[in-house]
Amino acid sequence: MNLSLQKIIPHPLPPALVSSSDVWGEEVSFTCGTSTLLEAQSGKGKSTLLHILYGIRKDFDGFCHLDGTDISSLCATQWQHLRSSKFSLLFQDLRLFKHLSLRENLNLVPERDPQAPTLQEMCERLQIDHLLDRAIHTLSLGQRQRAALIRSLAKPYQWLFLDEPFSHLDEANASEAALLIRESTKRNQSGLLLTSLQSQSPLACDRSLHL
Amino acid sequence: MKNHLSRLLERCLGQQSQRRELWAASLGCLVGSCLIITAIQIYADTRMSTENGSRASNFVTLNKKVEGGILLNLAQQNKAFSTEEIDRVKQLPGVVDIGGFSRNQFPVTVHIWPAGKVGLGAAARADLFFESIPDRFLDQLPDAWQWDANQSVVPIMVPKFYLDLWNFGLAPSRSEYPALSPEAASSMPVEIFIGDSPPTRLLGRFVAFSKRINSVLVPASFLEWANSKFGGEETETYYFVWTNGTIEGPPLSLNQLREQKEDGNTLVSPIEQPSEKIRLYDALKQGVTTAGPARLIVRLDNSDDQEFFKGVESLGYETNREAPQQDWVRKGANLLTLVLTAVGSVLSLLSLATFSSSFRLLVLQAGESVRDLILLGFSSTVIARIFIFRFTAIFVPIWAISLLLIYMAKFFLVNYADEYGLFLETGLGWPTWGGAFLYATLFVWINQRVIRRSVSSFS
Repeated sequence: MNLSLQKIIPHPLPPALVSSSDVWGEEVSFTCGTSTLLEAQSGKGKSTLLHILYGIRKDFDGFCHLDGTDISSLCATQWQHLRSSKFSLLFQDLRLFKHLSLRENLNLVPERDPQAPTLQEMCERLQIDHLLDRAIHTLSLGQRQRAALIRSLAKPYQWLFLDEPFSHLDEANASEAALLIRESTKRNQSGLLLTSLQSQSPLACDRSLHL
Repeated sequence: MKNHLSRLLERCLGQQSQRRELWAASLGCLVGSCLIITAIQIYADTRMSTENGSRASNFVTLNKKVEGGILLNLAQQNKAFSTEEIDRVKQLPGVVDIGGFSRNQFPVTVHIWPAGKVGLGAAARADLFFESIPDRFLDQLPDAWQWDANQSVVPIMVPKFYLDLWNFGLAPSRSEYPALSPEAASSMPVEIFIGDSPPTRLLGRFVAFSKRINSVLVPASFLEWANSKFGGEETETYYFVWTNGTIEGPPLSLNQLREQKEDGNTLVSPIEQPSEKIRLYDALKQGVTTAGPARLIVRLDNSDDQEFFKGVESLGYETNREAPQQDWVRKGANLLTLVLTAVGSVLSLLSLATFSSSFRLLVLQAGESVRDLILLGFSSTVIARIFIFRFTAIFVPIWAISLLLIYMAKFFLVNYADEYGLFLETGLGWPTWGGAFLYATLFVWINQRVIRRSVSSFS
């Protein structure tokens, strides 16, 4: 399952940003099984790109193909199928359900990847296992970011989109999270698109693109 | 696992509530459902009652008009229908079946003993008549409606309103007469005295109370037996006797003429047509013919067949339509059905609109969660199902309560209606069940659609 971008330019993006980008207005391909770091400063469209690929945003020019199919032509049911079993996205704003506990949030996925480690194991590795029955709104931002990461790794996927996954993590937790992500993508033989503010990330990627 | 996920989804989406709006919608739905289901039930009952009623009012009794003074009517006791006249009635449009009332040819007096035993307490005494009609015209045919010469008790059928007259007219004004239920009235012994000097005493019993036939009926077999045993000359036709071109003396019956005049050539003329003189011999010959029934019962295929009634009028007969209140009841019930349907529909539509808008608002309030769930890969159908379950959990009990209320109301109404002589079947009829299910299906379907569309708008 490969992704390719053909001269994608989001409508809200200032034209000045397009010329200096490796992605906007260019032809770029992402092969399944490879990892790509999308690096840019804030406001350059990192989240926008992931949202375009995840089918949330439609306000762009150009074409985006998934195995040769224009994603603009996909219907709601097809997107639902992709999101439930082919794509997994860690939102920058996490999108956890504030009135549910951590455990409930982690369990609230349409499908579970049967090969993924248990939630308990992943929580232990990211040191939030003692918080499983706590309401999510009582957790710190870093704890919530780890929770959202675990949720995105618990689903089956062929493409993993991570929107600044280490932005609120300390070094130790970021390293452990990166290791967990690496294991997961390797096991799934999936593609990874990871956005970051810096050109360096705790998770080493096959290539890096500047937005 | 599925259940666990459903519960999680329920918890995830269950934070929002439109409690006040949903209470108002529920109340509106309850009242609206009740009214609509009631309307359907009333419509069904009216139809059934009308069908019964049309069976009742499809039966019309006919008799010749009684006019003029006492003397003339004394002479014209023969109001019987001849075979030709019956044939003419048969030819009228809409006539399906026709039968004659046979009547007693002997005097009858009855003593009714309301205390339940002959000789106990006061008896209600009355000079009476008996009639019989073919069984196929009866609205009820109890097992006891059989009589043969070896049977000691004569079954009697009287109109239901006789019992009402007794209960609401006679009994309240006479302390010795108790009010009677149909069962109690059926157990009263009735002494029947037939004939004169000395009268023959028989025992009778009321076996049924007819809502169709306004007459005191006995089985045809009994009447035939009694007429043959106790009956005399059935009719008395009176004639003027002419002597030397003038009428001589008072009018005489055929019996009297037969006894007094030996000369068959004496001229006589019927009292109603004095100018038409005939020989006594011919008059006696005519008098031998057997008189037909004085009243006819006619079954019509349509109770409102105006052609039939015009025909009857042109023949100079009177009709007595049974159970005329049926029309009034039908019109009243139709009006009630219309009003209930209109009010019920308005309330139901309002409640439907409130429900729909409340649930649309619920979905909108939960919009962020709905959107996040869709982005996580949950299908809008699964998410909509959570709201649909919530709607169903409110609607189904309301609907069931409505049915229960109507069922209970019907239970009490059946007894109440029976007191007024209206027969209603117990329980709810199939049109009501069908209508109620259709109503529920429509209500659920519309709300489902609204919820699905609201959820899908986040896809």
